[in-house]
Amino acid sequence: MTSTAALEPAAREALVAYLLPWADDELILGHRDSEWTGFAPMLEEDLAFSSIAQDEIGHAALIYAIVAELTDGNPDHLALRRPADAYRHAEVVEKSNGDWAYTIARHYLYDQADAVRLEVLSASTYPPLAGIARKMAREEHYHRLHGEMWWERLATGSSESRGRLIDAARALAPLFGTLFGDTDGQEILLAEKILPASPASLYLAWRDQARPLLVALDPTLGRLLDGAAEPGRARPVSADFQALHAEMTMVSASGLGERW
Amino acid sequence: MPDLYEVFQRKSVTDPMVHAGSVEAADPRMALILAKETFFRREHPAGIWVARRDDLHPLAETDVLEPGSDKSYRAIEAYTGIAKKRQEVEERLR
Amino acid sequence: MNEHSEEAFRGRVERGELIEAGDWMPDSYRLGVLKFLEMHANSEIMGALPEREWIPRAPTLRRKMSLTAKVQDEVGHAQLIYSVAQDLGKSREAMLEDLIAGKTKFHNVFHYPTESWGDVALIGWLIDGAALVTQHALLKSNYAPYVRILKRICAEESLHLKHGEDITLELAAGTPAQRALFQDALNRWWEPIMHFFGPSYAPANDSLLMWRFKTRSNEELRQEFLNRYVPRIWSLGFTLPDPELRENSGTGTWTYTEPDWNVLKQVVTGNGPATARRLALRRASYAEHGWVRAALQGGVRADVA
Repeated sequence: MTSTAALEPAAREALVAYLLPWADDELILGHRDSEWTGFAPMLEEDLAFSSIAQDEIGHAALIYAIVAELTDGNPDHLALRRPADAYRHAEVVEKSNGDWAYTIARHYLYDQADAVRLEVLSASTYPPLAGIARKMAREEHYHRLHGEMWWERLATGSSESRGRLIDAARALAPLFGTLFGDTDGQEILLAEKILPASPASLYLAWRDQARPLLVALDPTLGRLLDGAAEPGRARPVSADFQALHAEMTMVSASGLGERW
Repeated sequence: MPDLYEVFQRKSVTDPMVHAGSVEAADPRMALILAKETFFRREHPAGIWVARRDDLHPLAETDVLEPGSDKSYRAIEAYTGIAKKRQEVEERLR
Repeated sequence: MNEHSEEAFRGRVERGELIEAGDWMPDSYRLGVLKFLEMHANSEIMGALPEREWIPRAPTLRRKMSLTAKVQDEVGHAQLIYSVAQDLGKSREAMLEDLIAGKTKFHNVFHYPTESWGDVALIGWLIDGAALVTQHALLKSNYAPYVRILKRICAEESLHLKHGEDITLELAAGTPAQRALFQDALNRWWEPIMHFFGPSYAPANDSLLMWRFKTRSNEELRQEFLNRYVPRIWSLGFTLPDPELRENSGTGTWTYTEPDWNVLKQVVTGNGPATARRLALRRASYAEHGWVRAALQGGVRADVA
């Protein structure tokens, strides 16, 4: 087992490069999910989805805490004070919420990806990472029950809901590879089993779960999963994220104060 | 309109099910999933039930639940004097 | 005496009996309680709107989660209260549709815009504080289904109060710019807070007070609020925009400038600064989700399975 003190600088750097995009994914998705609070399709669902949003932000907080420890930084600064071009999340989580079908499709497919990642990371040789992975996996079970329930309800509830779910899946499926990109120095993490399996293998595992779901909705959707995972995360700041970032950092980066 | 489901929970495995409130849902599966975050965000019950409101039947004649004639023989308080009685009997038999 | 008569019901009320949803009740009680509950539920769902604007802007991870949880609780209160109101004979759907059509009311404070994180602090501390004063008094209401949910609601509002106070204290102890945020919020929100409790009515003119659904008058509640919160606001070094505001030495009662009740009337009848915008948001959301509601109606449809 490796502890923080025992991590070589190269491994430390590689781990930060792996964790930061993931923390950003959870934060930005949680941010998008939280935008539904007060406006979900029905009151009881407003409550359920709001809890899911809080869970995602809480997961981000757990990951930022490890990154902060590895870099002698501050989790709130990492989360809410970087300039827009310093965020490393995948494109799929920053997209605007769209309609309820888009939100549910993204939520369900993302949580399946998370489940694949968390199962693997629960066996990490880096104890803090294994620890948070196990903690997060418990909450993700409810997320999957919820996502699955809504996916099936929309797929079978009416021809309109089914059509909207198909449109959402068509728009989202090609973007999911962006969650499984390689990160700098990951060979070190793989060699030490800090990362027990490669992002590419996680993508294949996720695809095996997602493909039957998509094909059952519409046979032509399967084709959209045939690309390989997108390498790396560096890309220009999109208009969607520019707007999101401006709002997210409005108070934290206002300069009006340090403690809130 | 979705159906109305009544929600029940038990605090621990040795407690009875207690009514918590109601949720609107399309079916029992949705009702269970939504009930968790409607009523139990700050609690961790040992179990949750849901039942359609139409399947629950209240007693109309609640007056029959009021106390009637003396049934004090059903209550342990009827025997608060028993220690004293034992003393007296033991005395007499000495 | 006929058991199903206003006279018999008045007898029950005066004996301090608690009323249940299925009990016979005179129309004036049933409709008065329904209107009150509807306004409370409407206020919770509309009250979520000013604060939810700041969830995406929350300045720390913990505040991001705690503010989401707080607004979630308000939506939860709406769910609880609409459920109780529904049992008095008006469906949740009808109540939501009347709300967004502007036909029914919600509390004045939720008709105003928020401008800064200072407003988040103030709403969480003082507006929730005002709501808690009234809701705590309603725990003694004689309508049992409402009392049952108020226990949970009051417990959650007490948490919100502390959360709001925590945010306020950070601003109060912060930079001059942060203190100015809160002071500015106080200057804008003080009149709406004074309006919140409503005008003083003679008890005989307050029908819900006469039915013992309510147990304390508007003025009593306003006085309780002032007595609890004004000293605390002043002890943090903030000022309030009412030169007449003062405690009548040691009595626990307060003198203040009489608010303009016409303004309150204008606001709650739909002419507040943010009313139209917020109702439009609710209307748009409700319309947008029509297809989801339709998909929830039936069971699995054979033609799409």
